[in-house]
Amino acid sequence: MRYLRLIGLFAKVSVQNDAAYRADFAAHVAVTLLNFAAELVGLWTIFSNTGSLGGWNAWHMLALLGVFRGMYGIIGLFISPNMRRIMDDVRQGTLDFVLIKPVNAQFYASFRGLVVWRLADILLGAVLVAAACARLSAEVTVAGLALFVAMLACGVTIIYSFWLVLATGAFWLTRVTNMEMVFWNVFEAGRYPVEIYPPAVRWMLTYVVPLAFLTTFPAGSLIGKVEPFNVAAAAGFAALALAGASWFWRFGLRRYSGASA
Amino acid sequence: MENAPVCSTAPSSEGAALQCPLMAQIEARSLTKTFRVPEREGGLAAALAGLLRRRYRTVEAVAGIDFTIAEGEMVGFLGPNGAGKTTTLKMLTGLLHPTSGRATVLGYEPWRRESAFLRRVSMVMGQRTQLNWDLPAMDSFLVHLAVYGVDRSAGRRTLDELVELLDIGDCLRKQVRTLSLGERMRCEICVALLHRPAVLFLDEPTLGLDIAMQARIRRFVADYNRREGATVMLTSHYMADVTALCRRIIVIDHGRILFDGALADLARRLAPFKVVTVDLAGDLDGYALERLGAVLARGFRKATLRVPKERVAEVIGRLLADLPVLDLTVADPPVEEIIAQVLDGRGAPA
Repeated sequence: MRYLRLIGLFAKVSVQNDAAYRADFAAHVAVTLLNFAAELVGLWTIFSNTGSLGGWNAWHMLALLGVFRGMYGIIGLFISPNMRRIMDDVRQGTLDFVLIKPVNAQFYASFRGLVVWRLADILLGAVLVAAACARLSAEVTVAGLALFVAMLACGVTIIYSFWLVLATGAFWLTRVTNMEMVFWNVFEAGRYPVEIYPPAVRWMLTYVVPLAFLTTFPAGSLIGKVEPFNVAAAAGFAALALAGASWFWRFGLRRYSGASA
Repeated sequence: MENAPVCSTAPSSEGAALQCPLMAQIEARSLTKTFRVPEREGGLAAALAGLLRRRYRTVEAVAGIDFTIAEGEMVGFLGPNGAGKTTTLKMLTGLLHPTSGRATVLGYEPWRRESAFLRRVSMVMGQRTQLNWDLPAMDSFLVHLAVYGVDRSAGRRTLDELVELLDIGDCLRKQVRTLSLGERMRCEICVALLHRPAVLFLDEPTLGLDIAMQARIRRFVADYNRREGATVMLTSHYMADVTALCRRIIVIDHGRILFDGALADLARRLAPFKVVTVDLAGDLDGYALERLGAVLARGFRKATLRVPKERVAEVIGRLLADLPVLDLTVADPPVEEIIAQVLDGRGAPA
């Protein structure tokens, strides 16, 4: 409860300050829309040549694109900015001020700032998913929607854990920013369903780089395109990733304070 | 703020803190911290070899120190760069885990970082900021109050009070990155005190500030210590900070304590010298001052000598007899010099 209130306060402070840069905000939204237009053109190009992509039709793909946008927005909203700040803090020695606070350090470090204009991405994603659902009303069920929300939550947990591990790496390596570039390049592959890739790559994108859990499976669950095994895998993987990442974070802190040496 | 009178800052005789039956608030026993640092020679070949097999060197940053600090005491922690001051403060705030030995602060073991402990301590680091550069200071203050779970109206009161005392009313709405160093430092101190810590660690709080601002910060810290009865541990490069604020000092070098006691004792015990300054009505005319003591400065009609204590009376007599003296002063040597002497190992360690 107290932690929820704190998140509320962090959000409020971020909104107030982002609102102070209205021109910035507008520019960001414009870029988002341009990006989106390019994606639509790409989709239109593909589907003017074929009716289905790995079993996904144009409306399915629109839902997937919506999930991709939304996930992109969530990462940009709170995950990547806070994780980047952890890395900066480690480099500059200001992590001390995080550790000295009487709240859980992982919580505080993970939520202390939000990049508010990223809500535009999330909103756009939601609109796309809603539009696709409206069009696909025959395929979308209430259970499917509930599963979609649950799978989305798993996806967010997994990607948060992934980033936390990346940020914790800063305790050992001082330059982790290159890893971030690699991440964004790989993440781009998430705008297509993993079904279009050859089996070996598909397997990799599911179990090695768990990209499928971020976009394909949530979108798939909406339209009944996800196997029960993968639902269980998503839940298990999310729980495991969060526990593992939190452990790694604490391990990093122990090393930082010299408790493990 | 009905705090009990604070012994160490009360205007009484030296050593008052010792006579005062207050509870120990900070205790260090054989506190030790060693670091393993990678080591390599310069040059490309050594760099490549280092990639394959790193060699480490163990550095003892703090080598088994002991001290006890009572409630409400204000202690100056002195030593050259790399002496172990910051490492010690970090162990006492729970940021670093000691390699061996133990420490208690307010009855807690700091490195457990229990929230009940963290709520009652605070740290200011002169060269690092805990304010968010992109936000106005006010936002950082409000977040701080919420993170420390300070009651809203009590927090508001403290904030108003600190803003007034530190005179930072004009800075609150400005982005921290646009503040001057002096303004920022006062905001740093404000944020660190918002939860009214019982123990305050100040690591170089006046670094880089001009003299007037240093004095201002000093006055404020002394005042906080008096009003709140807070225990303060202060490190500083500026001797004036320490002499103005702290009755007791701890001198540390290479991780070991060289002196722990009253500032006045330091001069008495470790500086068997007085500094004698004379103003003359006429020229020195090549008068052989060297016979009387070490000449620290020699001007046209002015001279400063360092004289062993037991010879002071004799030297003054000679000066008055031999020279047209207008004015003559006898003073203790500056603290800087005494400390330098302690660090050189010339003084007897405590």
